[in-house]
Amino acid sequence: MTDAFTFERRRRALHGWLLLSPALIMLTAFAFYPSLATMVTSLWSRGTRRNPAEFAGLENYRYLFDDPTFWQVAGNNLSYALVTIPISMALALIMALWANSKLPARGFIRTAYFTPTVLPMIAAANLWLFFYTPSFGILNQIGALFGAGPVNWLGEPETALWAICVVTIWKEAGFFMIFYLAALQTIPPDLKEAADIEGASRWTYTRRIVLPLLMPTTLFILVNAMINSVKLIDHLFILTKGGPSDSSKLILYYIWENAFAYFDRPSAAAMTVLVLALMGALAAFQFLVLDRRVHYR
Amino acid sequence: MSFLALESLTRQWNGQGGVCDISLELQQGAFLSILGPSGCGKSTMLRLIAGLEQPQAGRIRIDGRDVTALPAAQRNLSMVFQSYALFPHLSVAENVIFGLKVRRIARAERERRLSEVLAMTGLQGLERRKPSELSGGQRQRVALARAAVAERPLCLMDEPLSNLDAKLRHAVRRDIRTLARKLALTVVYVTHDQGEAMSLSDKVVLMREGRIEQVGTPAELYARPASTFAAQFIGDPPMSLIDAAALGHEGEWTVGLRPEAISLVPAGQGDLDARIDDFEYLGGETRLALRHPAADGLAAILPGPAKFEPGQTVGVVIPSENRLLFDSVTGSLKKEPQQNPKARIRQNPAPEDGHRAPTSTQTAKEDLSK
Ligand SMILES: Nc1ncnc2c1ncn2[C@@H]1O[C@H](COP(=O)(O)OP(=O)(O)OP(=O)(O)O)[C@@H](O)[C@H]1O
Ligand SMILES: [Mg+2]
Repeated sequence: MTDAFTFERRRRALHGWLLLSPALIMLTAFAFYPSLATMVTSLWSRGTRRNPAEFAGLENYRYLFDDPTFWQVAGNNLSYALVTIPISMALALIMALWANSKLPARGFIRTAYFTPTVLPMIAAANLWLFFYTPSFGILNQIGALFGAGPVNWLGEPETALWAICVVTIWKEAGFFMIFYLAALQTIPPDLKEAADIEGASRWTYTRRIVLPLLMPTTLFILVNAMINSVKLIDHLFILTKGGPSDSSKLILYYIWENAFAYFDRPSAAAMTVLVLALMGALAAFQFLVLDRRVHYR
Repeated sequence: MSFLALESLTRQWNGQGGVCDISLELQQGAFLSILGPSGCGKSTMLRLIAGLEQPQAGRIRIDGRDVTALPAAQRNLSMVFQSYALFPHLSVAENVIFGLKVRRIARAERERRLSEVLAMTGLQGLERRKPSELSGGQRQRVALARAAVAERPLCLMDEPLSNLDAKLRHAVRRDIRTLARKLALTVVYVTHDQGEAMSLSDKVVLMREGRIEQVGTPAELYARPASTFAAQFIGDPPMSLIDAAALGHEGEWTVGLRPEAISLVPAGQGDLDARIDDFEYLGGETRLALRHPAADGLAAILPGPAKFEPGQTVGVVIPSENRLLFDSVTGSLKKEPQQNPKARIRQNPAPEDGHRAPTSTQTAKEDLSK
C-alpha cells in the first residue's frame, strides 16, 4: 500500500466524518444522551440530601405499576388516542376530498380548514376555554336555546376528557388535511376520467382508486397522529390541568407533574422509558408490517 | 343511418381554443382518424364524444341515440388515453377487469373475457405485474386491453402511440387494426402523425385551429387535398407548392404537386430549372430535395438509384395532368386537374367547403363487421 493511497483513504474518512458530525452532535446531545440518561435515572432510587440515590433495579417500575393513578392516566391516554386518531384522520380525509373538488371558494375553504393548525395550541386552548365556560360559554348558550341545562364541560369527570379530545381533533384535522390534499393533487385527473368511462360511481372511484393511492399518506399521518396523541398536551395546562380528579390527565402531563411538581425524577424517567418503548414498537410495526402492504408509486 | 354523428359541435374557452362548429358522420365498424397539428382541438373533440367535456352548442348522436346530455358512463363507449391512465396500484389483470367489476359482471365471465383479451394483446404472463413494472409498449397494450374487454361498440383513442418508439409504433399500430377488425369496433383515433392516419383509417378528418379542414378517405386526402394546408400536412414528403406564374399559368394560383409525379430531365428541357439540395437513396427509390425560388418544398421521388450530384441543376418536368391549382390567397383547391388516370381520383367531387359533413358516398369502403 502506497503512502498516497493511505493518505487518500484517510482524507475520505475525514471528509465523511465531517459531513456526519453536525447531525451526530445534535442527535447525541438532544436525543441519544437524554434517552440514555433517562434510562439510567429510571434504574436509580430518588436521591435526597440525606440518602443519596442508589441503584434500585426495576424498583421504580414496580412502584409505578402499583400506582393506580398511572393506570388511570394510561387508560385516559389510550381512550384519547383511540378517539382522536381515527376521528381527526377521517375528518381530514373528508375535508381534503371536499376541498379538492371543484368548488367556487376553494381557496377560502382550504385556508379556513388550515387556520386551527396555524394557531399555537395555547391560543387555541384559550379559545376553547371560552367555548366551554359554564353558563356564559357558547356551547352552553347554544344548548340553552334548545332547553338543555348548563354543563360544566371541563369540570365534570365524565366530560372533561372528551372536551379535551374535541380540541385536539379540531386542531389536528386541518393539519392532516393538508397532507391529504397534497396527495390528492398528485393523482392524475385522467384516472377519474377512465373510471367515469367504465361507469364507476364517485364512491367506487374513491374506494377503489383514491383510498389505495392515499395509503402511503395515511400511514404517514397515522404515525404523526400517534406521536401527537402522546406529545400534544399543551391544552391541558390551560383547560383542565388534568382534573377533575385525574379524569383528563394524559401520560406526558403526568410525567411532567412527577418530574417538575413532585420532583420524583426516577418515576418520571421510568414512565418516559415505557412511553419510548411503546412508541418505538408502534413505529416498527407500522414501517415493517404495514409498509409492505401499502402501494408506493 | 350513421353510427356516430356530430352536429355543429362547439366547445371553446373564452372564445378561443377547443373546437368550433364540427359536423361529422361515421358508419358502424369504420376506422376514423382525427388528424391535425398540435393544439388544433383533436383531444377536445374526442373528449366531447366521450362525454368528458360538455359542448356549448351542437348535438352528439351515438347509434341513433342523442347522448349530448348523458354522462360518459352511459354512452356505451371505451377510451384509450394518451397517458394510458392505468391505475398504478392495480395489477395488469385488475386494471383490465376494473370496469367489469364495477358493472358487477359475474366472475366466470370476467375470467373468460380477461384471458381472451390478454391473449389478443399478447399480455399473457404479465397479469400480476403493476403498471410501473411494464415497458411503455406493454402499458399501451394494457390500456388497449382495458378498452377491448369492455366490448363496447365505439372505441376512442387519443394518440395512443405517441409515447412509443418507431418500431414499436408499427407493431402496436397493426395490433390496433387487427383488434378493431376482430371486435368489429367503430374506432375514433386521434393522431398528429399523418402516416398513422393514412395507414390505419377508412376515413380521415383533417383539423386546423378547431375546425375541420377536410374529410375523406386517405386516398382522397392524398390525391385531392382541399387546401394548401391539407396538401402540406399529408404525404411524406408533402406536396410541393409552386407559384403558378413560374409555370406560365394566368392569375393568382399556386400549383400543388406530389413528389412522385415529378420527373427530372437535363437542365433547360423541363418546365423549371432547379438545383438539387440533397438526395437520399432509400433502396427502392431516391428522394431529392430541390430548390427553386418560386417553389416551396419542391421534392421528387424517383424509382431506383440516383444519377445526380448535389448542387447540380436539373430540369423539372411537371405533368399538367398532375397539377392541382390552389387559390394563392385563400389556399383552397379551385380547379380539378384534367383527366388523371395515374392518381386514381374517385369521380365524386370532394366537398367544396371543408367544414361541411361529407355525404354518405364518402363513407367506409369495406364493412368491417364481416
Ligand atoms: N381546459 C381548457 N381550458 C382552456 N383551453 C383549453 C382547454 N383544453 C384545451 N384548450 C385549448 O384548446 C385547444 C385545443 O386543445 P386540444 O387539447 O384539443 O389540442 P390537441 O389537438 O389535442 O393537441 P395535441 O396534439 O397537442 O394533443 C388548445 O389551444 C388548448 O389550449
Ligand atoms: Mg391532444
